[in-house]
Parts: sequence; structure tokens; C-alpha cells
Amino acid sequence: MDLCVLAHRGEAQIFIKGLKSISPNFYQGEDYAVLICGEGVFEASKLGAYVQTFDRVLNFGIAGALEEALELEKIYPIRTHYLHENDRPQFKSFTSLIGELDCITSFNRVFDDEFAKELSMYAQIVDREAWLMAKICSDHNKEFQSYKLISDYAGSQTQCFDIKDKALEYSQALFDFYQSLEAKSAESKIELELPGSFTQQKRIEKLLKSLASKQNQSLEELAQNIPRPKSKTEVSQLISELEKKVNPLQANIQKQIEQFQAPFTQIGAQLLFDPKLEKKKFKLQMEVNDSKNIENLIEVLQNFEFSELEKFWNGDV
Amino acid sequence: MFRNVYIEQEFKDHHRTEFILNKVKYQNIKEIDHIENYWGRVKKPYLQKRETLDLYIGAKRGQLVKEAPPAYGHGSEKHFYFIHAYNCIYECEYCYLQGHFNTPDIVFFINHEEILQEMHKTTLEYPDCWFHAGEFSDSLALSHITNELPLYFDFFKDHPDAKLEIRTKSVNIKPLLSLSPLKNIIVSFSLSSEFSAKNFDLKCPSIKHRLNAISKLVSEGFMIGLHFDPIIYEDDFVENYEAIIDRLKEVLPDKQLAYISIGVVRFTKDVYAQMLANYPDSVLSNEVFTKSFDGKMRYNHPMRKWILNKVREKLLPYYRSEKIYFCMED
Repeated sequence: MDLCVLAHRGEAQIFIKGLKSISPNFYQGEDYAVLICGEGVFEASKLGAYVQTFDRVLNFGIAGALEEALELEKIYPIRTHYLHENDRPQFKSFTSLIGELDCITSFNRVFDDEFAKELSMYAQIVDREAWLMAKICSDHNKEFQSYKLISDYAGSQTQCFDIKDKALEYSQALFDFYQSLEAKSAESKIELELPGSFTQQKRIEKLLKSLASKQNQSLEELAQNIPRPKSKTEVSQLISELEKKVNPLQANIQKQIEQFQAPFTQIGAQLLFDPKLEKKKFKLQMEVNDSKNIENLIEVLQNFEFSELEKFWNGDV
Repeated sequence: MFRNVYIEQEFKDHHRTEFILNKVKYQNIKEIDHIENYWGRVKKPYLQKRETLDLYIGAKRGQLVKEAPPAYGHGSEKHFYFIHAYNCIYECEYCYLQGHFNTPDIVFFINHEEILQEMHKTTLEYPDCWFHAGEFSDSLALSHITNELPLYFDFFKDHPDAKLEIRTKSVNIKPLLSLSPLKNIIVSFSLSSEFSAKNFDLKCPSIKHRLNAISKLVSEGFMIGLHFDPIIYEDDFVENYEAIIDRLKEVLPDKQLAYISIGVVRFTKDVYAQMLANYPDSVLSNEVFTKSFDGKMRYNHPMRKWILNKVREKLLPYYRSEKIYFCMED
């Protein structure tokens, strides 16, 4: 479920229509909830108390333009969030996979052109809260998106009173924008039905993505055509098969290792290579409870050609 | 086109600044005191270079010439690199710049006289040393804008024992063609298979165009270096590298080849994390890399050796073995 966060009640008025009021600042609906956090970076910290229970957080609000090229009353998705604090920008920034414009969150309102000019070195839009929301979401590993409606040009022309008068209109525009996002998101969600545990599904998905990009096929098409194994072993076999397709050289290396190991395995011993294949060494393990074990081991070791292993190590695969 | 051009006040009227500003398109100019007070002060994501790139013009301060790491270059001489720019207009998926700096914004350092002075001092101790340009940028791609090449050619004419490597993926060879070739200036190109260049060298000139540029420079008498680095494993690997080497031998004779380095793709931990974040759907993001001898993420040892040996084997019929070396390998 989405949590929509807005700073002012005026901006949120359309969002909260028909939602159940849980507290004076928090409203719960069937599809989304709304938090009215208040203006400023410190107020945005209220998100911390709610973030954990939601799938993603969306911040909607009005903001000032720092560049004249930006269109008034247009809504811009934000790409990177910066923070300006104590007369300087903070190093940490947070990026969403949306938008082409950046927003700098300022501790203070922007009433003079010099300050606006300084902020414009880092972003095209200025707001009062989004950076902290982005940080809270990043800390909790939650998806965060921010959408800013340009109300005015920041600086000496900032118009606080006009903005209050237009709150209803802005709230409607932001809510309509949210609804259009929801419609698009429903269209683009494709569920891949993959076999195995969560980790195995992730591995299969990664391998399929690799194959899809290699073979110029769609991920969905490839996913539909893979077998649907039932046991864990069969899923592992499928992963191994896919790995071979993705990287046949790696598969050859694995095969050669198995060939080195085979005679030892047959007599109950284990030839263990460095799992990263970075160190030219192996470990030999064997449980010995009979003189026959020792005889077998001597025979296998006598037939073992270390020069073959060196050739393999040096790339003869 | 750059969004903002930031110029250090000290250099606002400098003739090189004027030259650069006449060559680039930009939206705003802003004066700053020192580049280091602004550039990289906030974390700007690498891929923002696609839409919003800023340019900084000023002076390189601190150590102007630095010693290169071991196994960096060819031969037994000392290797150094100098920095006259930060960041690159190209976007290679494996590029270490994506995790090296905090910003993709480009910097032009224009105090070349000071850099050359430092290089001169270095040659007093190591007269036959190598200098490499392009450690943190492509040294040719924007050279028509920065216009520093004539200065460096003059320097190496006066220092015939020292050697300069100009490292590039660009085909911007016009600035070079207006200069007389010198035996101690090597223009080195990064090459790979067509598949690799097409898939991983985003916004870079194609292999065909790079080979054309090599051919033109060869015909004008320039010495050429080659870097088959970083090599990424691909299907039909041997056939694909055979194909590029077949075309290479037609344009580059051994007598004009200075060296060929061969290296397999590798990442520091930070760059690897950035690459995964920036290119999650890339073939590269799905490759199996392990932490290797120096902490970098690489293919495992047998696989690296196989790759290096195969490419070397394909080059050997056409180029002398002493000119071919493995780069940054144990």
C-alpha cells in the first residue's frame, strides 16, 4: 500500500476525502493512506513513525522553481534530492528512478534572489521536506517518489498568500496526477511466475535477464518457456542449466573441476578447490578406517598429474 | 550541452577559458573561488550525466604528476600520469569513474604550464620515463575544445627520451593531424570485440570508426598503442576477437605499434556496486565475479588466463611478442 505524504492540509484536502481519520494528521483508506506532516525538515521526520508499514512512500507538494525555464503549475517528478543546511549543501543525496529534475530541500524559506541563486547551483526546484523523506525511506529500504507542483519562482518574488488561495486547485491537480500514476503502474506490472524458493527465483530471474539481453528476447517470453521443476534438486538443476547457457566457459571450468574430483570421489575422498578459484591449491579430505582406504588413495594420487592441474590453472580449459 | 559552466575567478579572463567557452554550448556561467569547494561537494548520481552535466574550468592543485601503480604500463621504465581533466563524455558500463568520483560533472584543468613544469622536474630524475594522459578522462575526446595538445607536443619534442601516452576511445583525431607526429608520443586506443563495444561502450565511437582513426594516424606516421582492456567474456569469444584482430592487422603494421596491453574486466568493490545499481539489466551485471588477489572483483583465475591467452595467441602472428603485455594481472 502507498503512503502519500503532504506538508499542508490545504495540499492534502482532496487526497483525504472519504478516508478514515486515524489521528489529526493521518488518514487511512483502502488503497492508500495520507500523512500530513507539516512544513519543514523537522516536521518531515514524522514519516519515520509510519514508513515501515507501507510498500512505498509518495511525496506530493508545491515547490518553488529555481530556474525560469520551469513551467508554473506543472508537476515535475523529482530525480535527485539534495539538502541545504547551515549555509552549505550536504554531501548525501538520494535518487529515485523517475524524473529529470532535481530538488534541494532548504531549512529556510527562500525570500531573496542571492539565496535562490546559490540553491540553483545544485537543483532546479526547492522545497522544505523531501530530502528527509527520501532519507527515511532509504534507511528503511522503502521505495520513495516525489512529485512537485511549481507554485512560483523562488526568491524575492515568492508568493505565500497567493499559494494559500490556490490550495484547493493545487490539491486537485496533485491528486489527479497520483491517480494517473496508479493507472500506469497497474498497466506495467508483470508478474513472472518462477519456480523455487525466493532466493532461487531471484537467481533464475537474474539468469533469465542475462539470457534475454544476450538473445534479444523478452524476459516474459523466456520465463514462459522454462520447465517448472517441483523438487529443490530439480530447481538447482535448472539453475545450473541456465548458468551453462549464460556462460559456457564457466560451465567448462566446472566440468573440468568435476573431472579432477571424480577419481577421489570414487574412493570416498574429497578434492576441494578454493571456491573462488583464486588460489592454486586444493584440500584433500578422506575418512580412513581401513588399510584399503590408504591403498586406494595412494593409487589415485599416483595417477594424479599435477601438471594437468597447472595447465587448467593457467587457462587451458 | 552543459547546464552550468563554473569558472574559477582567477581564470575567468584566461585565454584558454575564452577558447573553451567559444567551443561549448551552455545555459549559464557562474564564477566560483575554487573548483574543490563545489565540484563533488554533493553526491550527484553518475547517470545524471545523461541529462544534466556541468562543466568546471580552473586549476589543478596538489600533486600534478603521480606515479602509476605497478603493472600499469609497458617496459621497465617508470610510469607517471598527469591529470588535466576529470570525467568523460562517454558512458562505458564498466567504467571505474562511476564509482570513483562523487559527480559525473566534467572538469578542465587549464594550468598546463604548471603541469608541464612538474613533468620537466620528473624527467630530471627519470629521463626515459612514461607519462600517461587520460587516467580520469578520455584524453582526445574533447581536445578540440581544450586545445592543449600543441603544448604537450612541444614539451616532448624537447624531451625526446620521455614518452607520452594519449589514451582514448575517441576518433577526434583532427587536433592530432594538425601536429607533426613524434616517435615518443603514442596515441593508444581501447579496442574490444564489436559485440562488447556495442553493448558496453555506450555513446562511444564504434570499433569500425576507431579502426578508421588508427588507419589515418598510421598513414600520417603516428605511433599507436592498443588496449584490449577491459575484456568481457562473450559467446563466440574466440571468433569475435579473431575478427577484430583480422581487421586490425590490415590497418596497423607492427613497425608502428608501440605496445598492446591485454586486461580482463575488473572492479573495485565500490565501482562494482555502482555498476550493479546503474546497469541492473546489463549482461555485465549478471556475470559471476569473485573477489580476487587484490580485492577487486574479477572472473576466476582459470577464466582470466583463458581469456588473456586466447587474445594474445590471436595477436602473435601479426605483432612481436615483446610488445604484448598483460595489464594489472598477478
